[in-house]
Amino acid sequence: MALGRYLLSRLASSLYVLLGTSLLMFILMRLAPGDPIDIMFGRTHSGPGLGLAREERLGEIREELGLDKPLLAQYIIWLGRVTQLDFGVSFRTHRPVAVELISRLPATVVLAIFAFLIQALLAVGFGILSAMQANGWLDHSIRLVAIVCTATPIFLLGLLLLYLFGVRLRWVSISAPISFRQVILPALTLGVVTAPQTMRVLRASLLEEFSRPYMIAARAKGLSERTLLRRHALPNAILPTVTLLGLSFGSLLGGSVIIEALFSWPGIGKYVVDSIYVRDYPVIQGYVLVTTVFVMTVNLLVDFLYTVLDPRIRL
Amino acid sequence: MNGHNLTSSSKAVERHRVVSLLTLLDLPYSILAGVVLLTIITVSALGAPWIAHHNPTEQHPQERLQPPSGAHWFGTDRFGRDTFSRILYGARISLAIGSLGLVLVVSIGLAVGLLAGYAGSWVDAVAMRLVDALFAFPAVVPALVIVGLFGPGLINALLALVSVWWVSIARVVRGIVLQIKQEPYVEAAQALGASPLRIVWRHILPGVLGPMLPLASFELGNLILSISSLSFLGLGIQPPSPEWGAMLADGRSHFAEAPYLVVFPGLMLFLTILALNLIGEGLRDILDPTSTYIVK
Amino acid sequence: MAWLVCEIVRRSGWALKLTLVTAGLIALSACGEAAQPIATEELVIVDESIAYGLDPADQWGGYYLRGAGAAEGLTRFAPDGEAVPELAESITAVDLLTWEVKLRPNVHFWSGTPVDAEAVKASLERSRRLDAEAAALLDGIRIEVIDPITLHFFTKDPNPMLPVTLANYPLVIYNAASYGEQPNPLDLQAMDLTGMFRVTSFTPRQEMVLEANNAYWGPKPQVGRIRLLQVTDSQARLLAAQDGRTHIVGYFPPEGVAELEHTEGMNIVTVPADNIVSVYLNLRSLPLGDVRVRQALSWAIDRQELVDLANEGLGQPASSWLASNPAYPDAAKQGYTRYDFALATVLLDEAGWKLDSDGIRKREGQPLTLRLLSWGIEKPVAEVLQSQWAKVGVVVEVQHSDDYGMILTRRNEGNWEALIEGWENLGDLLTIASVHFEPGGAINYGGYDDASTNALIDRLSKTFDEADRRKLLLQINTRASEMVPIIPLFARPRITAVSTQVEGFQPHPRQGEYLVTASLRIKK
Repeated sequence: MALGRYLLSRLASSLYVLLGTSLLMFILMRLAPGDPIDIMFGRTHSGPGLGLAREERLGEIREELGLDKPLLAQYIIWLGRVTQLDFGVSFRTHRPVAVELISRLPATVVLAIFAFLIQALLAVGFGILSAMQANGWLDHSIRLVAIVCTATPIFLLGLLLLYLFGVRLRWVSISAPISFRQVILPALTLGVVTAPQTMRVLRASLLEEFSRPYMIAARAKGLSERTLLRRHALPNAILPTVTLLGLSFGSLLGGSVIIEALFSWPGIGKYVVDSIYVRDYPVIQGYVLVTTVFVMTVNLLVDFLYTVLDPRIRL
Repeated sequence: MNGHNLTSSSKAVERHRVVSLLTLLDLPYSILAGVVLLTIITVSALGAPWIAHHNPTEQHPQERLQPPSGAHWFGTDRFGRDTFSRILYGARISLAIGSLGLVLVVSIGLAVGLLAGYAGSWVDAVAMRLVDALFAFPAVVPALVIVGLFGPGLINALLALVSVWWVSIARVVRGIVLQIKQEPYVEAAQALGASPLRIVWRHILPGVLGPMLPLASFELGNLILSISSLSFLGLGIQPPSPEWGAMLADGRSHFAEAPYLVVFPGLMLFLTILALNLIGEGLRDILDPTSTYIVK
Repeated sequence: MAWLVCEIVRRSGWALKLTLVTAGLIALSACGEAAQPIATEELVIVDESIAYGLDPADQWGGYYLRGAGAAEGLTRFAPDGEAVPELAESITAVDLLTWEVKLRPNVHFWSGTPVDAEAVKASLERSRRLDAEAAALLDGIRIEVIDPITLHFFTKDPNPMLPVTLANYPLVIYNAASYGEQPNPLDLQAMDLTGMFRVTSFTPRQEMVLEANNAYWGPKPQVGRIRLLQVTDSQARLLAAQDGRTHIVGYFPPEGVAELEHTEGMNIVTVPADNIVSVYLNLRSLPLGDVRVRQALSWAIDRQELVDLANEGLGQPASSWLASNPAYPDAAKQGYTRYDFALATVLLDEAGWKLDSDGIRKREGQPLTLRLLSWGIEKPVAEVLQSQWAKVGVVVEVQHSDDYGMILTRRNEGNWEALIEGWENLGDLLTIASVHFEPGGAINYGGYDDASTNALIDRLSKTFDEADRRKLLLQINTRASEMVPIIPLFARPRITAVSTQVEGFQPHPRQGEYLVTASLRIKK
């Protein structure tokens, strides 16, 4: 049936993207100067006379990890393992990459969800409000605030909020375990900065809908503004906003490095950055794979959502 | 209708748009505010060597961590360097690098978007799947890898960003191209046997440029912000060059006793991006009010 | 908004509903954590770095586990730097090549297995096999079990430093049988140590929870539970110290000291540490091959200003390699004891680097340019050096990175002139001298090879008389000051923030290794 064929074709193109991005990252990382084994043992005090034996031992370790083989061979071996769901073992911690990534996923996902909710709430709420009062003082105020929020650098906002709520008011704590309280501040920072763009798009779509002939006809029929909004304008106007929200969520799932650094949030983003520093190849490859899968999945869900919201759209 | 009339009529449309842009009285206030702000910043940046009272990289240990005063309008940092001078020179860096980045991003994005949009079929599918994937990557990851390859520094950080950011331009351009492709005058030109290059150049490109202007303004703001983010993370500029993001990162460690070290660079970033966004909003209201594309 | 959600839920199929439910569950689980009350008997410690794993023979495990109060060695370093017995009751030299170690009776691992001579030997041999650092420390040493509480250590050459050697973190004692042949860093059940606290839960590089070991052989710990958290961002650690819920914050940033003074409830504990920050010079590079240039660079540094600007005035300028070592007060009078701009310019002129009209020194048209590598917290140091050396006409290109891999690569490839790093200088000075100054030494980054220094180190390895050793070390120190393979800058103190609720915190120059002690207690 059509759905099956569509899914298959999406799957195929997604696979192509996965291969492409993972290969790209693979090559980039191998080209980057710095040998992971050297880095692992780099800061060790090593007595005199151990030089040669040490070099041998390091060479052995490189062999064990397959780092002495040609580039393409390494990639193919890795690919082969991945198809059997073996993502390898982190060079640094010796834990399976899957375990490492999964252990940090909950924190990332929680932050992503809350940031997304805040973004969606703000964008949809104020977008509707702004459009309903188009060109009135409320609309202008909302748009002004939106512009101000977009222009604020995210690390500045995060810094200020952290200082205000962490130090002055002592409402949040670095050393407390991850909880609702902990997630609010970083989620708020992310949400506030990303909401305005989405809001603007919703407002523009709504205004476009409002000016359509059928809306004028419906108004003439005497339908209330609220009904017009709910039944007609919003379902049609929401589509581009949904796309944006979906993309945003997908991006959040990859981890936000700056936010995680500022708020000491144990998410995937910062973990991957640290792994890049020590050239922990398996972890980086695993991360690329995971984030790409997330993004593809979210995109697919968004497209499905389209068909749900607008029956005219066929896959 | 024959091709000549179509071409000249689309040219007329173009001219009309440009003319209306220049009619000051029609401009919304946002553009005015944005332009004024941006002009002040740009002029300050250009005039830094004359306006700045102090050398931005000279350390004065005796004057470290002083609050804003007559001698140092924005105070001094932990090394005794004058913050106001550093802010001015930082403006030069941000605007210069940002503009360079903009040119690169727009060139690549335009090329890819036009190609994907016009060529269609598998070229489009391939390009767009790649674009989709890249679009979601936190930009820091490829930036780090590239900085790892070529070493830390502002140009390398910029190249890293450009390599990921052209994507949003390409998306938008492609969307517009797809729309324009449906237009009757394009179909007519195709039927008349005009070469794809000519069609793109004479018919499609002008239609793209309209929405591109506001987009460019937003992109410049985003680039400046991203460069600052990378510098904030320690990946961009090297000491002692002043750059707003790096100044913010350095100022963090003394936030309690010298908040102005964070506030002023942050404020400058904010104002610059605000100006560019205001200009972008205003341009969009004029040139492309019903657009629903987004800049990342 | 609610309408939107309702519409979607109503119209969509089971897949979306499932997704929403899952998302809700994840969110709820996050909320659930907040419900647990913080145990009043729990000590919360935040540090920059916690263990990678639970195996002392793997990835600095000994260091972290000792710091957490879980692992112990035959000897340990007392706060004054001396090696004192820990699991050993006594350690005496039988003859020039033999040491006798008598173990404390009735000491057990957490599992109850006795810590006898066989277990100790097994632990040391396993470490020797699996850990390069342990192998280096035990190089040339043969271990023999005499009876259940006695071991003999036979050294190839006379070695008066064995107690010091055994105090190092790679040689902590553990139950080798429990861990197995291979590195085993992640199995909590296999973990079997002797410390006053035992690990009950562990997430590598994130969190470690420990509980008091009530069967501990020494003074019983006075805290029921410890939660050790890793926070790598220094500003975040500052915030942790200010939020009222953290008892101890290790590796506290110097910039936060002034601010913490305004915060009630936290004290700053500063220990003159064994960490000396220096500039390592690449003697193979063109300008630095000339000793006059190296000396000039050292004279051109105003070390007190460096400390004031880069480390908030915390720390002591170090004039020579041994200067910060409290056992060698004479060393503080050797070397670069003052800032001498004039002498620096004279030396540079002599070396042929003349000041040009643009303020930069040139020789045959080439400017005197140095690439200065710096990593992590050394960034302010690099900036000050850049500024100070600019005054004598040297152009410094700072290459700062948080990516140690890049620093390492540049160093190995020789693409550098100067490099800022901090290293310990307490403990076995022979080894430290050797790794710094002998050709092939692990920290001899710049290729220093000086016949007279090599001879001195060789003699040192064969000298036992304490007075003679001191003389030799001071001679090595003087020679190092003359030849300047490494420019000493200052001794960086270890700063810890400790809550006023905490009593019994012991300052220690190796604070990271000796953070948790049995004396820690929380005031009621």
